[in-house]
Amino acid sequence: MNLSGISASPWGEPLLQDIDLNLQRGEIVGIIGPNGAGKSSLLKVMSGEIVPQDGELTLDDTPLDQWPDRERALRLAVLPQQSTLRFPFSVEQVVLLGRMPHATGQQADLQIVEQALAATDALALRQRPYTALSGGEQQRVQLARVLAQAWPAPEEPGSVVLLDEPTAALDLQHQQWVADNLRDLAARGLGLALVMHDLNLLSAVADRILVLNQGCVVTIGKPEAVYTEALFAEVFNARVTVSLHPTRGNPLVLPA
Amino acid sequence: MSTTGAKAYPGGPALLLALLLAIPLVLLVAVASGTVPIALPEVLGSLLRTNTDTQASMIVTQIRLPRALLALLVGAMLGISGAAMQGLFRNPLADPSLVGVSAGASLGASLAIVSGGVALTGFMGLTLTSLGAFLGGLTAVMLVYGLATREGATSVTTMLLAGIAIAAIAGSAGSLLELGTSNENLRRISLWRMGGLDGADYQRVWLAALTAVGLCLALPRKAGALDALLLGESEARHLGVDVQGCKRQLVFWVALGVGVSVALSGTIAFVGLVIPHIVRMLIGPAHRYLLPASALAGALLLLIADTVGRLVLAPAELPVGIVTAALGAPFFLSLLRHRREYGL
Repeated sequence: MNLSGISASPWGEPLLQDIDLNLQRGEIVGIIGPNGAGKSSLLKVMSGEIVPQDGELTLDDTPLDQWPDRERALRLAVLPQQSTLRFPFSVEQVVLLGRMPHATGQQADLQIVEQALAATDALALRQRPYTALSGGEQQRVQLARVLAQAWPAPEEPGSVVLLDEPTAALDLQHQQWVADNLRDLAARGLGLALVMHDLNLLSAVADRILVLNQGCVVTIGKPEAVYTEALFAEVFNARVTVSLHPTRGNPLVLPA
Repeated sequence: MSTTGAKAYPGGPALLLALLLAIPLVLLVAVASGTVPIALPEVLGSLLRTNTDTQASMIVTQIRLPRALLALLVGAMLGISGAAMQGLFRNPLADPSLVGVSAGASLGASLAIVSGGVALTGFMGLTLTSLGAFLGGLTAVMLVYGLATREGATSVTTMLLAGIAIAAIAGSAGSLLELGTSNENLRRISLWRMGGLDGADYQRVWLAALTAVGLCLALPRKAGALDALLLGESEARHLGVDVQGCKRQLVFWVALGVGVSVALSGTIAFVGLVIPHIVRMLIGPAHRYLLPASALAGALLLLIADTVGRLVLAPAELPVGIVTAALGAPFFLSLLRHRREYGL
């Protein structure tokens, strides 16, 4: 997916200005920035929900808005920040909805659903009604649904996956579990863009970090290059110490 | 398109089968019972055209059968329309009348009655009252849909609110009409509102059948899209659903189905609200089974209700709308008391 010179002002005020980003399959790009910097707006532009006023947005060299609905769904999967589902579908039914655009047949679909549920450690919830789950469990199921939609398959082009706060409601164990599985899926050919507030989890999982402030790109690069004390002082107005993880080596952000 | 929900609720096919078996049996009983009871062998004989001259055969084929068939068809349209509306509004308590059909139809019917066209026959065996109801319902839906659509996108929330507003306007206009009209017309209007299937004939059955077949072919094709819509509109879009086109088609078919139902049988509340709800509690929310099962269950409920309505005060009749509420509401309430077991 390629964005060049994207500007968007859906409600008059400019939300995004002159954004360039090239998201390749096989990599994870993390998006950070203070509240209201335009992170979710950027994901909405990339998912086609907000139409940019200026610039070019292409998916596999074709403008995003020219993809037919179903073809686009085979190449692009999206997890919004919040999803409300008030009908008592079973967890398996919810995740199966992710297979809707595909024509892989029920056998293959159920296998993929099982793998996607395993990737978010939600296999044990399979037959439970969605409405009876806790917030964190619901988030894992919604994530599994999006992963089932994007699941790598030999004869398919591979998907771009946009995740808005996929781990916000998860406990420590599941944050780690999901992060490891996202890395694994990227290695199998998915391209992922994540908005996340957990800077330390993000630096462990992302190949590149894009920093947004007031709708503009401040910088983009490897976590160790982007995470500097000066950047957090300037963009987040926060005094921090940046250190390295003792075993993994990725940068960690600690309160000063 | 992959299908959903084949495994998790095994009750779907079983419920469909049970309903399919129950309907012909109830139909036989409904046709046999009435002010003049007719024995089942004679009913069968009349239906299979082996004896055609007797008085019993006349009653069965010319009076009771069209009425029973009309009850089945109207019930099916109300049931499936209700299920589709609840999916579209993502609200298990939505009702087909939410988009203003019933209120508009009520006003249209009142206008026709007040203007004195009760006895006139219009089109395809419909009285002027029925035509007025149909046109009134259609106008209301078009207004609601138009108000909620801006730059090619329809807001479901605005549709809900506009539906309430249009229903209020139609209601007050109707009251204004009633203030100025004769006592006789007033009684006609209030009887029409209670809903009734009397006056059923084969012309009406054909009209209902055509519409019902259209509905039952068109709406189940949207089952997957409706499942996805329950997740949210943008989620459905990301799953490859043409959300706007889907909304337009759903509103069109529901308006047609409810409009024709209202024109043929007056406002029969409750079937469209409660049937999909009950079916969902039994077999879960997946529309693949919910839509056909709601159609069949709606058909069955309305046939039973109409038969009960013909029998309790015989030879007088109880309007079917009163019976559906009296039969369905307690059942619904008892289900609500056990809702925890259904994960609601």
